[in-house]
Amino acid sequence: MPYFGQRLVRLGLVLLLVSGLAFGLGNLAPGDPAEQALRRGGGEPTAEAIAALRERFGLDRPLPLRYLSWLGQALIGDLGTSYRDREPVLRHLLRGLSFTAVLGVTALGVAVGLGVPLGVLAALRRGGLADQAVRLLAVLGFAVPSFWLGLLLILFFALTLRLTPTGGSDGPAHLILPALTLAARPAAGLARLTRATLLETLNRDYVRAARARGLAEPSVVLGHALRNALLPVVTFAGLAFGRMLGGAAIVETVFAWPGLGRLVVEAAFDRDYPVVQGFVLLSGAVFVTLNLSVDLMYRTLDPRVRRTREELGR
Amino acid sequence: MSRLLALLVALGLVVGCAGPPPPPSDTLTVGVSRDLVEGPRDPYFVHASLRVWESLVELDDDLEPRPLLAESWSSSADARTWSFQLRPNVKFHDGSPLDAAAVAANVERFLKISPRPSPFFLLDKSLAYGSLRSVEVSGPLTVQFRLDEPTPMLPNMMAGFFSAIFAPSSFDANGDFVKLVATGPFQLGEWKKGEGATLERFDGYWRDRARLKTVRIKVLPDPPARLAALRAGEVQAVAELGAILPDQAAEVAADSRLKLGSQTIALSHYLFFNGTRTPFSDARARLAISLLLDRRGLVSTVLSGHGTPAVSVLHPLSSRWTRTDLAPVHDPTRAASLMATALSAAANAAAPERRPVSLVLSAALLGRAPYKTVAEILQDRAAPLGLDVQITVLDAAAYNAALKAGDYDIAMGSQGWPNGDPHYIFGRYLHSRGQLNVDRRLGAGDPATDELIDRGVREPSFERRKAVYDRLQELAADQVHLTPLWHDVALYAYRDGLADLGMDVNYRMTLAEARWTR
Repeated sequence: MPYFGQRLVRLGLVLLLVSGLAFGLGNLAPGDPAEQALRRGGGEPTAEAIAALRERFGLDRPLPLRYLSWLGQALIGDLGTSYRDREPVLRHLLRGLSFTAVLGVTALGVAVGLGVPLGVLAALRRGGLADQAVRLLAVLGFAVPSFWLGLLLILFFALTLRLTPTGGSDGPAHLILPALTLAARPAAGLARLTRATLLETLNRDYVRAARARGLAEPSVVLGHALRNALLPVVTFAGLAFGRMLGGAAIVETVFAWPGLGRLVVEAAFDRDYPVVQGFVLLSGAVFVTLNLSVDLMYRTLDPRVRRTREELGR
Repeated sequence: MSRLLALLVALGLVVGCAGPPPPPSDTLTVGVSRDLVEGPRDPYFVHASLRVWESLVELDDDLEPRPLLAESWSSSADARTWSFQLRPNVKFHDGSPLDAAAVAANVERFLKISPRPSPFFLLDKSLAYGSLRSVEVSGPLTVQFRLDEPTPMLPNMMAGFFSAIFAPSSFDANGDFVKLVATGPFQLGEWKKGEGATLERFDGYWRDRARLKTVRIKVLPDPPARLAALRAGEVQAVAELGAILPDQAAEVAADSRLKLGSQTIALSHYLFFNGTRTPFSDARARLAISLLLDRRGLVSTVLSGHGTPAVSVLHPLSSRWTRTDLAPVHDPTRAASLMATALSAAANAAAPERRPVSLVLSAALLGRAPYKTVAEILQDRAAPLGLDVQITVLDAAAYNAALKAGDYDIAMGSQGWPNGDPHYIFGRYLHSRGQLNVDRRLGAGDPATDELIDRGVREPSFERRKAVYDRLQELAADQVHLTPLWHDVALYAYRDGLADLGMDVNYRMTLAEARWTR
C-alpha cells in the first residue's frame, strides 16, 4: 500500500479510537444531561419531566447501542442535535470552526512572523543584548496566562491608545488583540526552537564549507542553515496550530469571539454530549490531518525523509 | 527608519478607524453577559428582557401581579375558575389583533410542549397553571381558565414567562417557532448566537412607543472585558444579570463618564444542609452554622454593600408575605454551644466516625456571587467549633448530581422568586414531597408542615393564607433546612447622557424607557 494510503488508514483508526474515548468519558462524567438541560433556566424539573427528556434524547438506551448509533450517523456526516437548543451539532461546529480557524490561522501567522525572525536574530547575536531580550520575551510569552495578557492588551491598545476595539467579531480590527494574545505562547516557543536549531545547524560542516566558499553571510544563514533548521519548526508550528484550535476558549471568552472553544466549554458544562463528542471528533480529525500534512511537508523539505520512506516502501 | 515610522503611523490610522463613533441619538448598544436570543427551538425564542414579547400578567416591584396584556381578572369564590379580560386595541407586530382566541392558542401550545428546557426559564405547565383542566374563549377579549383544585395565586403563577403571548402564526403544528411575532415595544431584527442581536422599535405598540429606534445587544461574557467595552464607548450600557460584579462597582463609580445603577432583584442566596446525615440531620447543628455568619458584615465587606442582609426565607421585596421579624442573627457563642450539643448527641448515638464537613459550590455561580469568599469565611468560623470544613467547587451538572446523591453536607446556591407566590418556596423546599427537598436531601417535611403547605396553596381567603405563610416562615427559621444569607442587588452601568435605563425585580432591562438626554 502506498505511504499516503497507509497514513489514511492509520488516521481512520486514530479517529475511531478518539470517538470511542470521547463518547465513553463524556458519558461517565457526573450529571444527567436531561436534568441539566431542564435546570439551565433555574427551574426545578420533576422526575417525570427528566424521564421524558431522557427518552427524547435517547439516554434511556444502553451506552454501546447509543455509541454505535451515533457512530453510524457520524459516518454519513450527521453528528446529531444539541441537547441545549436542538440545533444540528454540525451547524454549531462549522460556525464555531469558521471563527476559530480565522483566529487560529491569523495567530499562527503572527506567531511564525514574530517567533522565527526573533529566533534567527537571537541565534545570530548569541549571548548579546538581542539574544537576551528575545529569551526574556520568550519566557514571558510562556509564563503570562492568556486571560491576563488579553486584559493587558485591551487596557493598553483599546482603552489607552484607542487603536483597537475591546472585543467582538464585527470586522478585521476585532481580530488583532485576540490573535496577538493567542499567538504569544507559540511565538515564544518558535523563537526558542528556531534559536536552538539554528545554532546547532550553524555549527555543521556544510555551513562551514559554504562560508569557506566565500558565500555572503545572509546567503549562508537564509539559504543553507535556516532551511534545515526549519524542519522541527514546521512540526512545532503544525502542532501549535492544533493546540490553538483546542485551547482558544479563554481568549474567545475574553474577546467575545464566537468560536469553537467557547462553544465547547459551555457545552461541556451543560453536559451537551453531542456537541462535545462532535468537537472531539472534529478536532481529532484536524489534529491528525495537520500531523499528516506536516509529515508530507517533511518529504518536500527534506529529501532524506523521502528517500528513506521510498526505500522502506520497496 | 523613517519608512518604518510612516508605516506604523499609517497602521495606527487604519486600525484607529475601529474606534467607536458617537452613537446616533436614537440608537443604543447594550453589553450583556449571556445570549438573550436562543432562536426558534427555544420555547420563548428571546428573553423577556428584550421586550419583544409581553405576558398577560407581570409582577410589580412588590412582587404583586399587575395587568399587562390582561386588563383585569377575577375568580370564583372557590378560586377554581378564573376569568381574564384582555386589553383592547393591542396589535401584534404583523398588525393582527390580540384576542381571546390567540391567548387560548398560546396556553394550549404551552400545555402541549411542556416540559421544555430553556436557558431563560424552564417551561413547566404544573408550575404555571397548576391543575388546569381547560382554557375557554368566553368572549372576544375574555378567556376563562378552569382548574381542578382551588388556585388562589394563579395570576402570580402566570406572571412573566408563563403567560408569554405570541401571534398564533408564530408556531407550527408542533408548537415550535416558525417566526417571532408578538406585541412588545421592540421587534427582533438580525441576530447571531453568541454575538448579539438588533432590536427595532415597533411603531404600532399599544402604549407609548419606545424612545429609541434601534437597540443593539452585544454578548460580552468576560466581566472585565465587558466593563472595558463600556469604558471605551463601544457599548453605552452594560445591564442584565451579572452585568457589573460587586468588586467592579468602585471602578465604575470612580469614572466620571459612567453611572452605576442598582436594583434589588427577586433572587436570594442560601446555605442548604444535607439533613439526611450527621451532623446536619440535627437542627441544632444547622442553626449553629447559621448563627456563625454575620450577614450584615458579609454584605458590607464581601459585597461592598451591594446586597440586603437576609431577613427571611422569603424575599423582602414582597411586603405582603415576608416577615421581617425572623432575620437570622449572628451569635457565635450560642453557635458553639449548639454545635457541641449536637456533636455530643451524635457521638452518643454511635453515629459514624467524625469526618470533614463537605461544603460544595457550583462553579457556574462563582462568577456572579462571591460564594468562594463566603465559604472561606464559614470555613474559618467553623474551625473553632471542631468542624473541618472542606470546600469543593464543582461544575453545575456535577454539583446537582452531588446534591441529589446526598454527597455533601452544606451547599451554597441561589433561588429566584419569579412569581411572588410563597408556595413556590415552601412547596418545593419544606414539603416532604417537595422537589428541591427531595433532590437536595434536605430532610425537611413532617405531617404538620405538609398539611400547612397543602392548606396554603388552596386557601382562597387572603387572611387565612397569610396566617399559614407566617407560620411556615417561623417553621423555616426554626428548622433551618435552608438558611438565607443575603438578597441580591443587581448592578448595571451606563455612560453619562443616557437616562431611564434600568432593570426590574425580575432582572429585565427597561429598554423601552431608555433615552439619550444629550
